[in-house]
Amino acid sequence: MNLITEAAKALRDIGKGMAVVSRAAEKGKHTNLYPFEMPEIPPVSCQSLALIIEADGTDRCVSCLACEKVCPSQVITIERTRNPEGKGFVLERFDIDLVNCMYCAACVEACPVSAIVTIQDFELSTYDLQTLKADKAFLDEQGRRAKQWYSPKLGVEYRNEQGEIQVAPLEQQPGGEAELLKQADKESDN
Amino acid sequence: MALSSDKRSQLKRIPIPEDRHFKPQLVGYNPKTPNRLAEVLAHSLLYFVFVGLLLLIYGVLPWLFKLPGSPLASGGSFTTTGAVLYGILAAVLSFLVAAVAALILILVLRKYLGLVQNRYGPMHNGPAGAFQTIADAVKMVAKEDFVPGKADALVFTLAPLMVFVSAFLLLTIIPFAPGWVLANLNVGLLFIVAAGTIGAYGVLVGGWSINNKFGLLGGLRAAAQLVSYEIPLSISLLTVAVWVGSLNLMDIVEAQKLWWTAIPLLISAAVYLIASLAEIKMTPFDLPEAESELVAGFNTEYSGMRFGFFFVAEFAELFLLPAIAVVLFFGGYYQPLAGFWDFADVLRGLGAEGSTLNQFGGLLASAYGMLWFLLKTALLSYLVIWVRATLPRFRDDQLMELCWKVLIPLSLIGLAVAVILRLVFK
Amino acid sequence: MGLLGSDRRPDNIILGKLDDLINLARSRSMWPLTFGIACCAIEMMNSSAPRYDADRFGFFYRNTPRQADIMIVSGTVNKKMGKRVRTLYEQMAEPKWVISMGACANQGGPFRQGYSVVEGVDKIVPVDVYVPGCPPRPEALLQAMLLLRDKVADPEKRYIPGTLMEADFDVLAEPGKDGRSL
Repeated sequence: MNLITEAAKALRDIGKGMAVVSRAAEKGKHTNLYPFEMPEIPPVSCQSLALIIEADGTDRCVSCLACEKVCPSQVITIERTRNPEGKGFVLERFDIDLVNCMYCAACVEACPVSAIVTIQDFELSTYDLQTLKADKAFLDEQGRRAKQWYSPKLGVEYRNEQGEIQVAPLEQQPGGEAELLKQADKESDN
Repeated sequence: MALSSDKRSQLKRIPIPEDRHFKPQLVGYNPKTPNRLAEVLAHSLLYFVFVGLLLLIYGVLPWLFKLPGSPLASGGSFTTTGAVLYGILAAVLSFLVAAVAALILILVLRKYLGLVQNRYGPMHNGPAGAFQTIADAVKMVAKEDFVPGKADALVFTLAPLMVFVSAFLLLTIIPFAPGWVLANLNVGLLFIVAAGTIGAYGVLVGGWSINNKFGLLGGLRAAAQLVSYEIPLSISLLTVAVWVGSLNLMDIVEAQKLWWTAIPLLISAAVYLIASLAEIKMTPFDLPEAESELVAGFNTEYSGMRFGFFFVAEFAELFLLPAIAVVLFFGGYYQPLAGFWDFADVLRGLGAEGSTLNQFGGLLASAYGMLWFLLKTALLSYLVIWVRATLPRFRDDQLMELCWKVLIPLSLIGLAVAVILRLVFK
Repeated sequence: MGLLGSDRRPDNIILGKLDDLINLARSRSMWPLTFGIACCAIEMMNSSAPRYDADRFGFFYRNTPRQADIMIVSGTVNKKMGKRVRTLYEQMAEPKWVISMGACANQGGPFRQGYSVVEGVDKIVPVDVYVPGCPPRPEALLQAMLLLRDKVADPEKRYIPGTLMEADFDVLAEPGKDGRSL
């Protein structure tokens, strides 16, 4: 008799489990259909690096070597010469070895002028490793192609239709909504 | 950290290819822009092939052979030439039936697992992933086939065939409709047990022959599990034999025209379903190929089509053991409550006796019975897949405990119930 | 590998088309090996979880190298592991492909000057697709798998088995054992 009651109890429990499984199907799909639909990646996420050129065609980069010094993987190579016409330096070579880069964005944090930024273009898989030895032309192109980019000093920026660079409004910045809520709280307190 | 300037200028610059960005092609079916008609058509393609093959074997071929004036039949039965020819054709086509059943069930399993895990499962290859298993099959046939150096080559080659033949033999004795059976054996129930045991041998020697510790462990586990679970399975088969009074599967189905055997013999039916789950080696009982413990169990060293035979046999059994359950317990090819009113009788009564319409009606009635049979089998296969999606794997001792301490006593109780009921009611 | 030989047959329509069909089937049914080395393996697992679901394209993980078609080298390959990677690669049945995932597998990444690290798994096994990142997103791995799919299915460049490259076993010499200092 004990056997039959235990068997009945086990069958009841299995039935409960099977009901849970069949109800799980009602929750719909959680899948992101990647090649047909691009995922939304937050702008602080560092998927690749880019150099930003201003709307008038000048480099933001001032060749200060801050990124090269701070890079933990030592993948940034910069060559510069003194500017014969005035102050500062002329950038001759800016290479990032995106193969060995570990996308920690230490260079982005170190950059004093927000020239090197994080972008969210993750589609870098390749048949040939040499395509990832990024030179300045490649990094510039990455910057031109990017819809938006992020640096800690200036926040999220994007190019508008006239090709000018704009800082995104506060509600689109990372943490911007929390900031707006704080301001609203302060105003209500006053 | 930075390199000194003279060292930096020594770094050599490597030419960089022009084309830097590789985008995957957007080929394949996109579920965001669904085409329901194509989905339904593509998914029912394999089902139509399956039903068509069965109709061809059991309906069309015998009808063709028995056409008036045919040299292959005389007086309603085959001549020797006709029987041999029909046997060969039926065997080849039945092989296709087993393979198509496996292709369908693998796809159904993967789609169902996707459904309960809130993902899509196979989706982009063919409308809603309908051609996924076909691609798998073609790839497996074309993959390299080899025998490991230290394996026993003869046994290694034979083992997948033994497993497959064991599943294939079961197909020959299943009555899909009245008279639609390849081998109407008087000892059908005994044949089920005998044919099923060959598969256990195949798995055991397959695991042993590859000279690999994972394979050996998987094979031994499979042998212990399959041999143990043969006992409750056989006792529940015996229960049906006691209740019906025949070992012939056709007789067993005929005896269920009014009431299914499962109604008086509920315990035996439950024991049969659980034990057949263990025979199929499906998830609560998938110890022989436990993927998290033994790399892939008994088929660790099998590649290409040899592994394909194991795979196809496993999923063909997922069709065949529920089919046997339907034959034994759930009324076979009869519609529910066929004793009161049967649509097949209406079809059989079409036209005058012996006319073409009458013959066609008989064929239709058989096809109608087969559809009921396939529907019930599909429901039971779905139950097995549902259990697979729910339960985790048993531990080895729990597996044995379930068999020897629960299922065998339960099946004996079921046998006693059958004997008492038989004495009281018949 | 063409089933019927590796040379292209522009004249022979039937065999050429059969080769194309087989390559199409192969590209649509690539079973990766369940083989993770380091942190990239976590992202590899994610790529077949409900959020990304590699099974949509028929990427169905197999546990044994005999039944697998592609090997995803996901993590730092050090010299001791390199021998195992090579062994697993040799155990896989033809045709087989390799995806190198993450900076470490590509060229050693942040550990590339370490005494025990193989600087690039392509020194041991022939790599078809490289995924940069540390670790890459699961989508990036999916992109690599789809690039491999396109490569195999391309009827213009039929997959021709290369001569199996000799592993650069000098790379795998363990420090200290062959007289080199640590």
